[in-house]
Amino acid sequence: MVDCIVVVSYLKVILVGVDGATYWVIRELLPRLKGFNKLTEEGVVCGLRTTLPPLSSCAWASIYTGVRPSRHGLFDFVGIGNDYGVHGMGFVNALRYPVFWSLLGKFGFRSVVVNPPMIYPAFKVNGVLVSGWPSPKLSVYPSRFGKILREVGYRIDVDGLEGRFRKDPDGTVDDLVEVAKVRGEACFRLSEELGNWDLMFPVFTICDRIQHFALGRNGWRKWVLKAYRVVDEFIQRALRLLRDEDEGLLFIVSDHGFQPIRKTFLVNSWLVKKGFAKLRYSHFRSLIREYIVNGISLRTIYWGASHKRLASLVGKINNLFLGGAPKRGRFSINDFVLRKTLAFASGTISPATFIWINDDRFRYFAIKRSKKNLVKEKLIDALLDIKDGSKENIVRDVVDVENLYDENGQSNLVSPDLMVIANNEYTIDPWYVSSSYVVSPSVYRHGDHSFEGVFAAAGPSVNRLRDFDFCGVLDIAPTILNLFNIDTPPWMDGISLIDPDLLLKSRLKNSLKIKVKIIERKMRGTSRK
Amino acid sequence: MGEDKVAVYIPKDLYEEIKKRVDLSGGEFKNVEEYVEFVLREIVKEEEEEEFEYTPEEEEKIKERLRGLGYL
Repeated sequence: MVDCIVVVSYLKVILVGVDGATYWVIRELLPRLKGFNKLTEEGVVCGLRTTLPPLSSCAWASIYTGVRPSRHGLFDFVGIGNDYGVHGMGFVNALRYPVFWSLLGKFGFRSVVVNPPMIYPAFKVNGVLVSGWPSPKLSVYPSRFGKILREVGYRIDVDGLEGRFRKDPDGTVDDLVEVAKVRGEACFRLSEELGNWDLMFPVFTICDRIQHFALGRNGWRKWVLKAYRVVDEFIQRALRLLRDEDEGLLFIVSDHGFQPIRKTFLVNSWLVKKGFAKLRYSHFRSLIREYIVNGISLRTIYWGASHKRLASLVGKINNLFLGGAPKRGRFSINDFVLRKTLAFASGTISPATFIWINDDRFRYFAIKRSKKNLVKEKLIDALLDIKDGSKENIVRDVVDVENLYDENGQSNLVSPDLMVIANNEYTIDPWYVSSSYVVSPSVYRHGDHSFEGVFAAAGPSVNRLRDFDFCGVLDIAPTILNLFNIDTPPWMDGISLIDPDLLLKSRLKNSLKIKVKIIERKMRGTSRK
Repeated sequence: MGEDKVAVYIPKDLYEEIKKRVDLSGGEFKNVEEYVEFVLREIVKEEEEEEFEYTPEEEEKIKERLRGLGYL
């Protein structure tokens, strides 16, 4: 039996999502961040354990639902079909577990949610919802609030960052700062327009973007400080807003942390080198890449970038006659000789990635499912033994995820078999091939995700939190619900950070119990899509 | 019963079960009719939540955003 207890709420909660905000970076920049300083002095700041893998899609889905990735199923941005095609894994909208602001809405609380990653399109809420990165286009519910976004010049993100950072790092950082400032302004304007809101939840992505590029480079603080300062200004303004409230809390939550990257592990190159996979090399394509693309600008050869038809024709000729993987460069799974490939890796470039055994779930399989355990065992042993030079182990751990991630939201996707987790300061790239399987990081990978993000809380109601010195992304949804005196729903894996003795118990509402039961029933009845 | 309502028949044992819950609700539900209407409205609201599928163009735009960040 689920007991739901509510009081007439006068509580205001501001949950500031900061993609990639990192505890150790904040500690290092703290003297120059007034808002974070106030949080440290008057509230609680600690590390936040993220998901496995430490990816935004996976971690934000857990933050919103309070459910482990193995249950919500959104464990990456992309997955692999049985035809080896790379498909998007979909957005949080498609998951069977409700997000916490939908639950709040069912109990009458009003939310302003701006840019929650992996939410598209904006769906019906009690309040306002602006879709989040990587939305293909901006989507707002109710649509009348789109006027405010147009007025402030709202943008989802800065596109093509890898190329832009290469050409103009300072200009790109300034553009990101502008996008983040507008996002903060939009959030306050939407809240004013809505009036009587209970939860404000903006998500800033600037720290993730700049740390990917800057961490691990000389003078990284100059760029990274700009990212944290925009968020800090929002925090200061939000704290001022709560100052006059009797009950209120401001939270900072990130989806993962960051670390500087020294080396990139090219997992597919390693699989080829060890005989688990075979590539269809193209010497022509290699020559072009080695001596033309990397030497003279290809745009010059293609008679200027504006001649798109010519460039497209050259591309088609390249695919027709020069297909196959280059000796060094980007490649696709179809560049493998699939019948001779026992295993291949795919997924987002990050410190944890996935390996699939090319068994009879795939069209051009190399091994029967009944025999794949032997390959798996060999792979695990070999991966754990990889050394960079003679000393360092590249791989920290290999997890058998065949049964863990068997619910991936889409029936056209094949579940991965192994998750490879790199050691500190390494990232894993499954999309690049080279004769060496350990290379220097790319322009946009001098920083990459780590497993420790940040949690912070301050405000008039901070004494309602229990004592803890570490928490996890799974704990956020139950905590927010408990703050509004809604008990943790039985499907959630997280543990509330609210002191159970400080729940403002008043009257038991049967109607709320029924609402929770109906949601539970719907989830049980939802078949795997 | 108001003019804008219609009668729906339910088994008597179910009626009795609901009546017990109404009595235990401490006045939150005035009668069985109000309880049944509340439950049905909640279920209909849940069922109405729309399913959404992405177009191939939208999926390509999403991948483009991921590539733009160097994720793929």
